[in-house]
Amino acid sequence: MALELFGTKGCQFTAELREDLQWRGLEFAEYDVEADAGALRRMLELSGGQRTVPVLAEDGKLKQIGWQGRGCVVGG
Amino acid sequence: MSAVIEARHIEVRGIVQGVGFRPFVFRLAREHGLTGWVLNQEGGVRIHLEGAPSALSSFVRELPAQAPSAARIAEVKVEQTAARGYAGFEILTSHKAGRPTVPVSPDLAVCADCLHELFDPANRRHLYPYINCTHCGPRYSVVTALPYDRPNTTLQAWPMCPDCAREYHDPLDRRFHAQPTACPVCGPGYYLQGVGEGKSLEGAQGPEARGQQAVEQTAALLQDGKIVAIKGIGGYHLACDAQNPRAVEALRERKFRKEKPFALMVDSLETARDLLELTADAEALLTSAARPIVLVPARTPSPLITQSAWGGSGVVSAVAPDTAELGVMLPYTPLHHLLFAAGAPRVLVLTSANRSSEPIAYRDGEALEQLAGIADAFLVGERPIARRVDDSIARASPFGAQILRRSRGYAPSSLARLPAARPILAAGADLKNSLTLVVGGEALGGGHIGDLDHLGAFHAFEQTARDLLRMYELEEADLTVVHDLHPQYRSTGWAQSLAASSHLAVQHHQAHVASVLAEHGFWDRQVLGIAWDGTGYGEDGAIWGGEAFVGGLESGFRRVGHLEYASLVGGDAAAQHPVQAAVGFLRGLAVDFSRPPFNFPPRFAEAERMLEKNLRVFPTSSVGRLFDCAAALLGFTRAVSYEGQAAAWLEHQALQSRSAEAFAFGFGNGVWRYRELLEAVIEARLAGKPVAEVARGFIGGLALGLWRAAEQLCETHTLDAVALSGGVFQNGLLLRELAALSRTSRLRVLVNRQAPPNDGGISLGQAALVALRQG
Repeated sequence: MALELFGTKGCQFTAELREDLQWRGLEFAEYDVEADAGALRRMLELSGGQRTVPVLAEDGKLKQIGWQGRGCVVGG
Repeated sequence: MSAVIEARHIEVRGIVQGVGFRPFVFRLAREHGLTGWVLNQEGGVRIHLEGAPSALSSFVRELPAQAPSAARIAEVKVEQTAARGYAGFEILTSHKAGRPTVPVSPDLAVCADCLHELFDPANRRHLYPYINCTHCGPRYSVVTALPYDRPNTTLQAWPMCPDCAREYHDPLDRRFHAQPTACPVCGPGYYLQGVGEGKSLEGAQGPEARGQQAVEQTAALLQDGKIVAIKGIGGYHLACDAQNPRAVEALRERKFRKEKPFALMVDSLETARDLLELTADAEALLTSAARPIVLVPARTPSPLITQSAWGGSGVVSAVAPDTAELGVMLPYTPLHHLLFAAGAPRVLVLTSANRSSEPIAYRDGEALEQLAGIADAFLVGERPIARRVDDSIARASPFGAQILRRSRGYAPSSLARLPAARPILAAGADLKNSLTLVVGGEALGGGHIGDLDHLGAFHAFEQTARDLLRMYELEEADLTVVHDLHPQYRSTGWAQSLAASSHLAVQHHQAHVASVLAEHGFWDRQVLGIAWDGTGYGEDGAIWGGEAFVGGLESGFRRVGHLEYASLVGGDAAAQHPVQAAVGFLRGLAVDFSRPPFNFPPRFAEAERMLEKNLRVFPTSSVGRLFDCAAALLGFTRAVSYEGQAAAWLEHQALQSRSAEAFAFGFGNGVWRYRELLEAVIEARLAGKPVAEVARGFIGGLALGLWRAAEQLCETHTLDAVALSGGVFQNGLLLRELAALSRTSRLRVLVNRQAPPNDGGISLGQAALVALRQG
């Protein structure tokens, strides 16, 4: 099982999801979609073009958008 | 010995402008022998008072208690200050400082004093359709800028005559600073304009009659079965005689509105009682100053209702086919009263003037253009409407009065206080859109806009947003903008295009639950939230609509339960066809649904094939679609012609049965299992049980299943309150069943009262979920 976290540095909800994953002892790869254009492209493909972060993917499939119902919007 | 003189500086916040508040302060100060001044300012009203300490205390005590009925005081701040030695008390002209934060008053129904003058032959406003005073009349629909003063209204083109000016400047007069004050001598009027035989604008004739003559001719046209477009407070209505089947059918045909119920206006409470099963709560709503359309069960039998569309002289069933309720309002403008007094039929269809699904027409030229071909004549008022304001819809529920569409009489007043550090603009959802602007800690609702898939509604949405920002002097860069998670929502795209200081997104169903918490001031409480509706974009990309969450406004919510996923063929488009929505829910059952008693049309088999091929299939947890499936099983196998029709039909069927045993709808491992519920419906149907009884068993089952899950989840998570929201909770029978179940429980049930439980409440929830987390 491979977890991937797409987020941004400034987003408080990305930070909370990261904390939750760490607290649960899960391993994951994290991408900053504001710094990494390739990661942004992959995130948009995964989530049907929606621009809210954090996005969590599992085995290359969308698992969850946002954290506890909220997220930050990444500029176009 | 001279008495001690002290002074107070008082600030009053809330809806205190345009409601006669300054004259009231003036009178109260004079009664207590106090001196000083009162002033409208953008934050509300500021008062400087001087006099004996006991008189000052009495003033402060009586201020909130005796305030004008239309005022809504949010806060009164009193501070000691130095006395300056004022000789008298005066009302100072408005001054402007800083950004406006005072809520504008909603539009109010004509008051008893004005009505009395309207029909008093000796009064100078006898039969004048624009009569109003500080206690009543238009506000939001006439204000063009803040502060609310005559030059900032659509009345600015009509200079007051000496008589009106005298009343306007006399602090003891009921029209003191009543901004829309006017009379037959100086003010705007109404005229009737016919449409030529060709029913086109080219055939339009000039005014046929003015003033009372126009009113009388309109009443005669309505008597004669004609359709007349009538300008109201916030837009045009289309009116016809509700007791004339041909007129009602013609209106349906011309408006392209097949089955969606029409709203009615009745001449009096007595007529309403003949037509409806009125409770005290429903009467209170009907007669409230907001005068919403109130949904009330029709009386059966009623001297005013005929079931056959072409017989008798009663209100025809074509007005609201297949629903148990009628939407009825009482007259709220002076013009409505004049029309009934001039002999208009006592039960009128009064529906928003538009072609189906477009926003209500409110500009004269636009109305004449859009409605040519629908209306036989136009009763045009000369007072311009500053912005469109639809009729509101409300109902008395077992949990108290609920607003289902929040607009005239309520907008743009505050729905809730939110402790937001900076202004927030929440874009809402795409269906039943409404916007919320949070400014000065008040969540102001911009009113019902409509379905943004229609270009006209989308334009209205953009216009409302610009209008709110302009009125409160906000720039895009001042805003935190929040929108739905749905990437394809038009409101999402629009919100993302704003040059805001930050952009956030909120999940649809969590916004529903948050709207309830915001209204109840539950900023720091953890609750169980249950959101059931037709559709919303889920965190996992699925179509959600049967959700349970644990959380609060600051922490956000965690999903702890949902309706078991079913496959939905065609995604949101399945909402148009109950049998298409049913396919995934019925998958794998060894029943031939093309045969009696089900008789599903070929669309079902086509959808089955798509499901097998996995073409355009989406997972869904939507309770709205589960309702569609049950409706299809019980006989609603055609396409719906308006949103929520199948569910309304199902409720109507269920109400024909007094009671029935609730079908099982179990909850375990975080999932409501629909399969056993639907199997019970199918079995009962195959056994020939009456449709009404089966429908009742289905709705009863949903209520019981929800309640058992709520008790279980609240125990697991140590919670004592459950918040219910989403369009499914407009179902009156479901609410009644839930109210009965909750009566013996320690759980507190919270529902929407101010914000609509449908998607009209989403923008408030979005704002609430980011207010404490603006970053």
